[in-house]
Amino acid sequence: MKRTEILASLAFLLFVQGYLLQNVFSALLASAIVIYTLFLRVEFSPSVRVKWNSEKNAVEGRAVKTEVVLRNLSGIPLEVSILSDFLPVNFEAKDTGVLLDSDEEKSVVFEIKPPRGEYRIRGPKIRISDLRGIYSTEFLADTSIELVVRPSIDRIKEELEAERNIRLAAMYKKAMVGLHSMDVESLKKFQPGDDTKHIDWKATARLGEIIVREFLREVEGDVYIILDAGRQMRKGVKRSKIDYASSLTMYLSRFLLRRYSVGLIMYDDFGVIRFVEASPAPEQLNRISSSLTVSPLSTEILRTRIPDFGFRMSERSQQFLKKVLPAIKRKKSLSSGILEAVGRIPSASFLILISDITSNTSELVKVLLRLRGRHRMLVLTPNPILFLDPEKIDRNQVVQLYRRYVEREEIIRKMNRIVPTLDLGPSDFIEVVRGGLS
Amino acid sequence: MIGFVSVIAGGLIAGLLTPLFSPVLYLISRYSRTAFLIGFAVYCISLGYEFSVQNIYTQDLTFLLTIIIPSILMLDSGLKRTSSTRIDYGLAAAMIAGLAIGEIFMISVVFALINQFSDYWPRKRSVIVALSGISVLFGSLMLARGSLDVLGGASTQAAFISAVTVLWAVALLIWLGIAPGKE
Repeated sequence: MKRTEILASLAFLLFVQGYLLQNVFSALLASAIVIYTLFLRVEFSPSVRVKWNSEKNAVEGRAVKTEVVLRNLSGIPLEVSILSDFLPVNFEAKDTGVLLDSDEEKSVVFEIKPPRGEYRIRGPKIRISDLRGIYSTEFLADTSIELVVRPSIDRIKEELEAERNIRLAAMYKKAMVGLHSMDVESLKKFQPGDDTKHIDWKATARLGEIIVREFLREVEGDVYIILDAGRQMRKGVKRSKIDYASSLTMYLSRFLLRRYSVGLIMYDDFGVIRFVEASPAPEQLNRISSSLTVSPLSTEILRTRIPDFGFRMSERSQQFLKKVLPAIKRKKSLSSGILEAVGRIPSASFLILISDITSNTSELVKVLLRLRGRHRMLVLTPNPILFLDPEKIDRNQVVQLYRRYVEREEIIRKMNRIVPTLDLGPSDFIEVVRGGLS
Repeated sequence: MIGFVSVIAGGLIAGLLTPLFSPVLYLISRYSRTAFLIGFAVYCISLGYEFSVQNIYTQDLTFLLTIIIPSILMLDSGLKRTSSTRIDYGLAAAMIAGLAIGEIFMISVVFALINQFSDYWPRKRSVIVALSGISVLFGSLMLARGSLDVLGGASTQAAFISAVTVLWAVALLIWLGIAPGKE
């Protein structure tokens, strides 16, 4: 309801009150209100001159300070507001107001946060009202500015990160399918990574925001975390993959223990080294924690740095050594080690394998194929490229790293056909995994 | 602020209770103009219940203005968000002094009214409109005194005032070429 309408209604009510209650005072008061309203209306013919200036170049995500010069050409003081709703979509700005006396000129800073692109914006949109705020008018000023908004490198990184996180969250949710029943447990707001098939359209229409159904989770057996503590996982200059994998194991155990019995299987290049039987008890976290005592391989012995000779074997030599070395070292094959450990699990369980899939890939695939029929599985694999120290990478290594990266992508693609596989970095994605489980 | 002081002082002079609630309206006006207008509407209607005039021709006009002018002053003060000046403080003091001497109160209220609308005085059209409205209303009341000044004629007088006001407002809007809905 407009303010003039409130005053008009009041005057009408007072006239009626005066007539019905035989009270002349009410009618006189109503007349005074009508005279007051028209007194203000007669002089309300606002005229404001607007100039809008802005620098042409801007960076995405950063506020651009534009200058709006306003001059009151009418004879009465005016309240002038610059409205933000005329700006193109995805622009951010706040309404700004200023009080202008008769014939006064003021310069107002109107901050806008533009998305990337090239724009020619006509405006700004101005609302003028009298000093009492009873009468007002809005118009789009006949000026324009040109903006060229360059993309922000930080923003691109953030977007890539967000997109990757969403993709991972979606994959993770997909991996958990089958762990929940068809019984709806609750409704919640849609989060990135939620399955669009679970949107409750009725609740969405009712509440005006996207709502998804959460199902009661059912697990047929226990959850086992299978952690690779082999040489590849223990390598690393600043922080090895095993450090990260241990933290991830603790996170997962902590959150899974709320609902499930959790166990741990740890293996290295020679076979299974730790087996913690699944249990729902709170002490289980301590048991798992005390089992995670694998130290990373250090390149420094007695504080003496081992010089880097830059010696690298050819791919063929590496393949040959991979086949020969287990025989020389008399180590058990990886597949038999894991199969032996998993064989101790009494019933069908959910297995979360944390491993570097690029080492012993063929054996790992064999194990997964064998276990797939009996257990549900998820593979979390730390990406070794993300664990390298960028300062120590030379020109030749970049080419090699790129080849490894392409090879790795191909492996992940193949692995995903067998079991859901998530590629993880040293610091990110823990929140995603945790979010999916909480 | 001056409008709220004048309402309280006028209420005390007239012996009315409703004006004592004006500080609540003052607080509301700091928060929202629309909320203040709704509060003001409630105030006016309750004032209409508390204070009654049966015959305008026998009523002391000065006494009537001690309630109507402060009410309009309060309406304007609540909507106009400007800080008080030294003149306002001086007028407020005079109004408080007017509790003892009625004439001082009336003079200070008239001065407050002139001061409150000082931003409109250079624009003669508004002043002419306001004066024409008051003149038409009281002039027509004078002209129709013969038929309105009768015992139990309060409803007729109220209806007459309403009719004259509405006619004057419509005529003014047509004359000035202002459509009622246009803002």
